Amino acid sequence: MNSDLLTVSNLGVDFLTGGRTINAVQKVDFSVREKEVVGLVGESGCGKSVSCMAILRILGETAKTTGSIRYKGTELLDLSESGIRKIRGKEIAMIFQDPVTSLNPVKKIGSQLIEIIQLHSRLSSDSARKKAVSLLEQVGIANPADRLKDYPHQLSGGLCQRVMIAMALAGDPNILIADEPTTALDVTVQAQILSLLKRLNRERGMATILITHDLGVIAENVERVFVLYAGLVVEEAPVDVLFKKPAHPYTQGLLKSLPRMTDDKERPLVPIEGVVPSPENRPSGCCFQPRCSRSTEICLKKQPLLESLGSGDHKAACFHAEI
Amino acid sequence: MHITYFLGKIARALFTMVLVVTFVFVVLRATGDPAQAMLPEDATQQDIEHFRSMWGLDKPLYEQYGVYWLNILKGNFGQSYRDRRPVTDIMAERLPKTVYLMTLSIVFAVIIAIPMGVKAALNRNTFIDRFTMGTAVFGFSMPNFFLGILLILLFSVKLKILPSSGSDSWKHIILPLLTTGLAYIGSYSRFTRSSMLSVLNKPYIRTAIAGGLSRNRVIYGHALPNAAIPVITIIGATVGRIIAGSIVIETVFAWPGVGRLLVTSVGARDLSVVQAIVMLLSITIVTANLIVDILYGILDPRIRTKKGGV
Amino acid sequence: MTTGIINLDKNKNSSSIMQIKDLICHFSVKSETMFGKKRRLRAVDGINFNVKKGETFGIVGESGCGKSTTAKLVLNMISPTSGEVLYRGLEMTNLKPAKWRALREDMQMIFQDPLGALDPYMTIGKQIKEPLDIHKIGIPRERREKVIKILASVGMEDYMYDRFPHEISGGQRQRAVLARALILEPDLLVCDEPVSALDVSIQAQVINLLKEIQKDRGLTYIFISHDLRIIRYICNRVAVMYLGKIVEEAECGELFKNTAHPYTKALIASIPVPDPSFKKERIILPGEPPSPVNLPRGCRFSPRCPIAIDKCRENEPLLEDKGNNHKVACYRPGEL
Repeated sequence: MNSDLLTVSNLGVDFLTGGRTINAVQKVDFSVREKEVVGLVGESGCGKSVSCMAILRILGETAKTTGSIRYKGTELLDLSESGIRKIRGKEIAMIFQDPVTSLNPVKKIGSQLIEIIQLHSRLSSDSARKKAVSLLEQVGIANPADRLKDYPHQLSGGLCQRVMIAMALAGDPNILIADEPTTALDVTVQAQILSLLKRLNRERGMATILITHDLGVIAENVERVFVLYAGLVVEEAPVDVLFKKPAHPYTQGLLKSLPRMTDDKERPLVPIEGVVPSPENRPSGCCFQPRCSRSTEICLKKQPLLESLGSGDHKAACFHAEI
Repeated sequence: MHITYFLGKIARALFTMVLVVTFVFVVLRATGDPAQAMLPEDATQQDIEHFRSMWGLDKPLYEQYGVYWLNILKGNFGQSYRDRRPVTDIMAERLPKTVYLMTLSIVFAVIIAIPMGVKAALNRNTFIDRFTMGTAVFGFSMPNFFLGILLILLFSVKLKILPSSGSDSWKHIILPLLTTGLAYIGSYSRFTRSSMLSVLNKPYIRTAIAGGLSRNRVIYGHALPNAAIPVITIIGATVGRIIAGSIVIETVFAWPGVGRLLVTSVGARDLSVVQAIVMLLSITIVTANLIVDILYGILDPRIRTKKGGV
Repeated sequence: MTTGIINLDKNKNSSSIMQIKDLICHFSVKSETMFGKKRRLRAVDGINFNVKKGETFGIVGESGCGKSTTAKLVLNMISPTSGEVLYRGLEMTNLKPAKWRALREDMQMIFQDPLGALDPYMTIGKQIKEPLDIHKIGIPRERREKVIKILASVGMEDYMYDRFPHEISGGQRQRAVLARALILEPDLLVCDEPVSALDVSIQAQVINLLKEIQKDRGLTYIFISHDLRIIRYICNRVAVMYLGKIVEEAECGELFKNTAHPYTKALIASIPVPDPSFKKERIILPGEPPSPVNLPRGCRFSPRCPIAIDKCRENEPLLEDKGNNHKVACYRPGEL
């Protein structure tokens, strides 16, 4: 089978602000195999975006990252500043939630795209321009040559996200991290962008990490899923296993709380009671214990580790996981 | 879109100037007989008659307004009764001195302040940041006249290495330049810092970093062009106020520019000169604002172009 | 709640609480130059609907479709260009301020962003009590009791009374906003994307709460959302809006079972289904909704419509009842 391209293990991220330390990521483990699409899913504050930004080390100086991030055998956390810069865009590229503000407002689409192309290849400005046009074509933008002359504010959100994807493709990366790429877009445009990402994964064999809060997006687009809660991976499974046999009570709760197009609308939704704990007020023991119906004494004392549930690919961090 | 944006701005500026001239015209007439106000008390009947016919004061008001405009467009602002010379000549002598001093101060301040603000922003909350910002606060909170006098005391009186007044050699400009420059450095650098800090937190900066651009490319290629936009406004505001800003500094250093001329003319009730300077003052502000607007349009595409139908 | 100033005949026309007739709201978009022509943004471009007492009327659509403008028009927060808004048969758009204030208690609104809707410098309890103080309802001593009661009914404990908005979670804030809307015992509640900013697990809590409260108090909801899943869950009737017009309107079950308009169909197909084994119909619309300033000729949806024919590009179809109270504005309903 495919080997791991990227392995994140024991990742922890703290932010030091105003003399306080805020723990955004407690312990995150996940991996991406070649050509694979994995999904990180969780609610706001679960640490899914922070974990991925930690891979490219773009969290800024207030962040303290621990653990290990290995890409093709290289430890990314040990690389020098110029070393990690060779990874960014060239090996691992990233796109973000709000495409319009993710592009520089005072520069034309063309100049932003060409800048990235020339950074990753020694192309003349003429051939870089041609490559820019072809990249825009590949991401499904009509009249690409005209769009090069536009500024970001002249384009819609969907077009800006396509431009962001084109910029991500400029370095021909092996992994694309897509951080909530469709959250800011309308649902019909979301469908376009997701199908584009799928096509690029298929055609280029580019592995993709899809970060989202939407379990529907996960179900339709990824192969393996990592469920995050309060800065921890609480469950890991192939996508069909996760939706058929969720093992962690949080995953089960999430699935039950979704309004679906198919179920009986007179039946009330089953919410997860309580709230997501803030990083300052994490509970003792298992992080989900205060909201969990299955919690027992041991859950109050110890945080369970992510462990295999029989079949190697299905893991959960729960003392009472349902197999 | 482009051209209409700029034409609109220019039209607006011209309109404001017309208002300023009209305002001065109205005020002079509202306060009584302009001939009496503009001429010294010991003016002869002949002087008064001459003044009246030159400005058409014996004609109906609308004609006076026309004559007034005609004179101004010809560059005729009347005579200074103190110097017995045309106001235009006096201004031609004084204005370059002021422009020289103030432009040099602003250029000096920009060269120092912008890198200083960027440096402080990049080293936020470190010693460098606190030190540069401390200096900046000192610079702009110190009143001009006070700082000027301190510098005179130190360099002219005590060390005797720089002259304290006049404009005869390059040495004369150093002290006034330092005094005004420091105040400008204070405000420009603080503005650059805060603008830079807010830009560095923007998502497009994260995009640039994640794309693999070098630190310098990110800072100077992506952050600074955005951070510069609000800084331009502040610089524009000081450019617009160079005449007003020169009043104190030119008095302290006896610099023979328009600012000092205004002070002495007001003291001597030389209204023709005052009238010309007031107009010049407003026109510089209007022009500077126009230039800022145009620069804004060039720097920020969101202003000059609108979301097109895509 | 009956108001002293105007007597509304609550029995007359009892089934309909809110009637919208030919409502149009255009904004003029300022051109960036002083000589440029002003352009018209057709936010709401001629809509009709009836909200029955006790039901939940849903309005669904994507950004720029005019759903939030409709909410503001319904509550008289902005004036329409033309058309009528009838509340219990009373025309509201040119009501005198005094009369309007009296009616205002009857209708409340909750928004997407609960933090923005709350005053950061006032405790939750005080904010909820404020309308009682303003309208001088009850004696001051009893007002606090009333607030605590209403807090309990939205699932908040007493101690929340003295908390500030930043001290409570997003879900709690939306409950507080709801409590403030309910304190005057309104008949109509307009909800504009009330759960969109909330996490899934919290979303479910608030949706259940909204349903419960409606049952207990016999409230009427106008529920605005971009999310068809939530609309389907909470609404009795749904209107689908596209670029300022209603393109389809039906009973909720009917709408999802016999979807007629190609846009509705595409919207439904675009919703990601949280079930990997579910094989759904793939309809991916090309392009994005054009700006309401530059409307296309003919049917507004025609440039993106997979089944548009020449007729669609020339004439605009009207919203017509195709039987079963199912209205649709399309020349080829149900063909996609």
